[in-house]
Amino acid sequence: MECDIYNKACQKPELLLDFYRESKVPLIGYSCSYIPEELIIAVGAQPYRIPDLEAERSSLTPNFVCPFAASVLSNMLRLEQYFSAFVLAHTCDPMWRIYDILKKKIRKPVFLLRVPHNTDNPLSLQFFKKELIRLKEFLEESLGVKMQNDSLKKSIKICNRNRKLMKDLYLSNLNENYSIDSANRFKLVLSGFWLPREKYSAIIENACAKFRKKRNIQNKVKLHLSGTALYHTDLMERIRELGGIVVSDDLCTGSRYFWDNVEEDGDPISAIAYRYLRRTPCPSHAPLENRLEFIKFMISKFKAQGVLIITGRFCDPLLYDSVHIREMLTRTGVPSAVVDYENLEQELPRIQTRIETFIEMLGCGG
Amino acid sequence: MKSQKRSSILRTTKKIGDLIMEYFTKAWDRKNEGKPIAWVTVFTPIELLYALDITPVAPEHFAAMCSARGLILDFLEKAEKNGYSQTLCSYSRCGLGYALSGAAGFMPPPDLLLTFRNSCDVYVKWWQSLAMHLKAPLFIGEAPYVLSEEDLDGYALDFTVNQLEQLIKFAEEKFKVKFDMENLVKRVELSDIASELWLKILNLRRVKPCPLGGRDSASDIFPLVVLQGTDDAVNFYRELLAEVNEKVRKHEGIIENERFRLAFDGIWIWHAFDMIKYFEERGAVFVYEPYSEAWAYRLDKSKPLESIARKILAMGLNIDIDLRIKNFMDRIKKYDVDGAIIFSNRSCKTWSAPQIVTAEILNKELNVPYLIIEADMADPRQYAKAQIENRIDAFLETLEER
Amino acid sequence: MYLGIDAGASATKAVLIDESGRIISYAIVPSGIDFMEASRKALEKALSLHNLDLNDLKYSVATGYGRKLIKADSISTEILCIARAAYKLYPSVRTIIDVGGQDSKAIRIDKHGKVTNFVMNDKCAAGTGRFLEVMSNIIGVKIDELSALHFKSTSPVKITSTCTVFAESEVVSYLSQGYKIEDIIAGLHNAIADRIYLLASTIGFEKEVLFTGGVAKNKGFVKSLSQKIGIKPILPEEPQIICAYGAALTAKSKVSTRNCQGN
Repeated sequence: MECDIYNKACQKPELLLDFYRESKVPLIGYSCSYIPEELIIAVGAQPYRIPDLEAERSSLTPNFVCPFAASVLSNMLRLEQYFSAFVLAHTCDPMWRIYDILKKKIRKPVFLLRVPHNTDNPLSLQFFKKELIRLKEFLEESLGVKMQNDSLKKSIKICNRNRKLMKDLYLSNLNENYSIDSANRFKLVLSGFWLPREKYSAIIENACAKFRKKRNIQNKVKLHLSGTALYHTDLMERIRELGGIVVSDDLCTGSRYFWDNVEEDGDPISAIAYRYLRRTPCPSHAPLENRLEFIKFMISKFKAQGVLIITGRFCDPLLYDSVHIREMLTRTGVPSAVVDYENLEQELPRIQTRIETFIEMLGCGG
Repeated sequence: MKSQKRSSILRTTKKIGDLIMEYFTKAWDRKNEGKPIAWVTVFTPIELLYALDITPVAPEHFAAMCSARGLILDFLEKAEKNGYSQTLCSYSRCGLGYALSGAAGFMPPPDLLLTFRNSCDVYVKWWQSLAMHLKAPLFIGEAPYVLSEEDLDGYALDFTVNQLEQLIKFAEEKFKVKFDMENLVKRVELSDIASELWLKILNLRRVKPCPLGGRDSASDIFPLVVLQGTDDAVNFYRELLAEVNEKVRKHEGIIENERFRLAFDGIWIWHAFDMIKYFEERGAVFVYEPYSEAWAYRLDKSKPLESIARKILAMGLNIDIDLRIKNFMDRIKKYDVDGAIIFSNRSCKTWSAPQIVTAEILNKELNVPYLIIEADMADPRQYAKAQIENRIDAFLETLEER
Repeated sequence: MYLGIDAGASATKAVLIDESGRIISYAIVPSGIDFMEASRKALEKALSLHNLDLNDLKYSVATGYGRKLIKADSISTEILCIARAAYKLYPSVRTIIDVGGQDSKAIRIDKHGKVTNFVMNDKCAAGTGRFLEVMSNIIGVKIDELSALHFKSTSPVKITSTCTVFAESEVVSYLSQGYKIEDIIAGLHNAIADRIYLLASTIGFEKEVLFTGGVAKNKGFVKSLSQKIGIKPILPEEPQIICAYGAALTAKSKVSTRNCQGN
């Protein structure tokens, strides 16, 4: 594995599919950061997160339904042959209904992990734990294996190590000590969804050694990116070219994926349930206050000058949230702008103009 | 096409308007007496709230009503001006616009915001946003997606029952009320009778000619939306059943010459009842809607909390797609349906997202033709009358050919 | 002398200013398909109108949709340019509403002229000049006839659709029913005004309010929008060149900053 495989993995994650097939590694396709990778690794499979890249949105669902969900659906249908099974999470309405549609359209087994939306309720934690046991049984059945006793503890350690490494990448950019540019940092984290989990840490550390260097960011406008699941690395490149740097984010495919670790003591399933349910919630889940706090925390820790809310055009959870996020930011004097799109690649010029305007607005300090 | 005698709405249905006004008046009376008001999403434990002396008010029903009466635009615009995107559920934009306008109209301001996530995730988001504006205590319950019939007896049911118990404790502490099991049993019993009556009425729509059409069923559901557990609901349905029985006896249908029997899949287009009339004028009647049937659910008064929990879990949108398709197919046969109108509702992604797939399956399995209509259930700005009527004409023509 | 070029999707505008920031000449030409050509023509026209010498040009800034496709010393975004120009001309302005051929925007500036918030409608034709273009085609009138007809209207029709495609069928329906074209036009102006009002409401209106952009030349539309907002707006003499003027001011400021930094 060459060490800039992380770059290739982000541009074309599908290249890895053939690699896994040839290596006879069973793949489980999954949709969301609520799905514990630890369980998948513990049954000897690789978790492979399905992005909306290279997809034509599926016509199986109306055009006012989230294009991101429709594209993920389309990819799952197109790439079915590579996977042993699919695991989806009940988060927002489109992703929930993608499970319904997939069930009718696909031959491989599909599982819906019911993630309770009231994440702070103790009863929800109990329920979620039972769901994880149900998931474990599904994985065992789909792959025809039994999860070994200490496999789960091992996989927790692997994932914790990877998450810590990702968090260090972020924290290494604190206090004006900016050594990894935001575009590469985003790619390094993103590649974690597709690279072999056991090898991820070594690959990333090697890659970092090549381009880690102290950079002067005085003239750059510091941005916090708020949103859900973003896979498009060109957006990050554009922001860089336009004079901005993303110092922090609260993306599902960014900081919220790795910010918290799983307790390594005690019952592994309970520890996993706690970490996944109680981390900063996705926009689809409650309580909203927890996310608002996380955003405030990130902005102050990484000294962001402004917040860019990036959302798919029909992302209901984020569209409700953005009203409150912006109200909070207005009260604390932090400028914000919303950028929405249906097809990011096609609309890149228009999106660029908006971002450019915002960066210029922040840059003209007076 | 022969033109029909002007179709009429049932006598009992006409009483719904007064029933609604009485209900809002009572809600305000209770508010002024210092009794707690809960804003609820539908398919929450209404019976339990009445047993706790909490008055339920449903912003979804409020939005439907405002839309039907041409009062919704101001509220939609208020929400949109506050930054809520026009692509969001129109019920929610109406409710939020109402809250942002001071909540001083039909619905008294809430002392509790209660939702159980069953219909959609938007419930959670909408209720959170209401809590941000109205600063009332928020209780979010989760009704997990029912994956199979067996699931209704499993740990998802336990989870739901336990949350109901949490709600009781919460209400007792917050509003200084004492939960009375006997009262709840009474409410459950009344709710069950109302459901039983409504199911009997719906069953009579199998008769030819159909005695109760779309414009009736749209209004007649009201007592099972927020009045289940009260005598008012039971009395209304008793009266309605008597009238429908009478019509059946006299072989009186909603229209004289019933040429096509249709199913309507979706929430009604509240600002366009004209559309139903347009169908009826061309000999087409609606004999079945999953939406109308959804409100009835048989409860076992010997297991009150468990029954209510089952009702919350098993509401129409919250059961597995295979169960939904099975039900729909069964009804299409039972009601002898000639064609289905599929309402692709911009506001309701939870309903619309899998609709194309379900419609195709129905078409393949039962050879039932369908027509897709795109609009919004409550936002009158999203309705292309000419285009829709054009599509209806074409559809009825193809039914004619068969 | 400094140059600002606004390469808009419909029209390209060139504005020349002097050392004090005063406009000395300007020109508007259709953009066509070649922005480079259009910007050249616009500059040429602006120079020739007042016998100006290209050699006196110190710096140029490009803005607008095609800003990256034309020659200029640097680029800037429209929002910032409009704000700059607005503040220079009318320092009491706090809200700017710009309605162009293909998009509409609302901008809030503070008492120092700094942009504090903005909102854009850049994906939907309803609420832009394009909407009026499509509709006036259907009705069979020219764009510059719209304003006069608006003031002849006695009872404007109600256009309920927020979408251009649906609105088109409403207009056709009214025409076939024999409604007066002036009433339909006033109705259309009200419909765009509603759209823009909703868009701009999300960032709020603070007086003074300035209208800019090509569509602001349509006094009928201006009346609709003013009535909807409930505020009497400031209307520049030539609203279509405000953005290019802002680009020219940006050009001037780039030179003076350079000079301050000792070049």
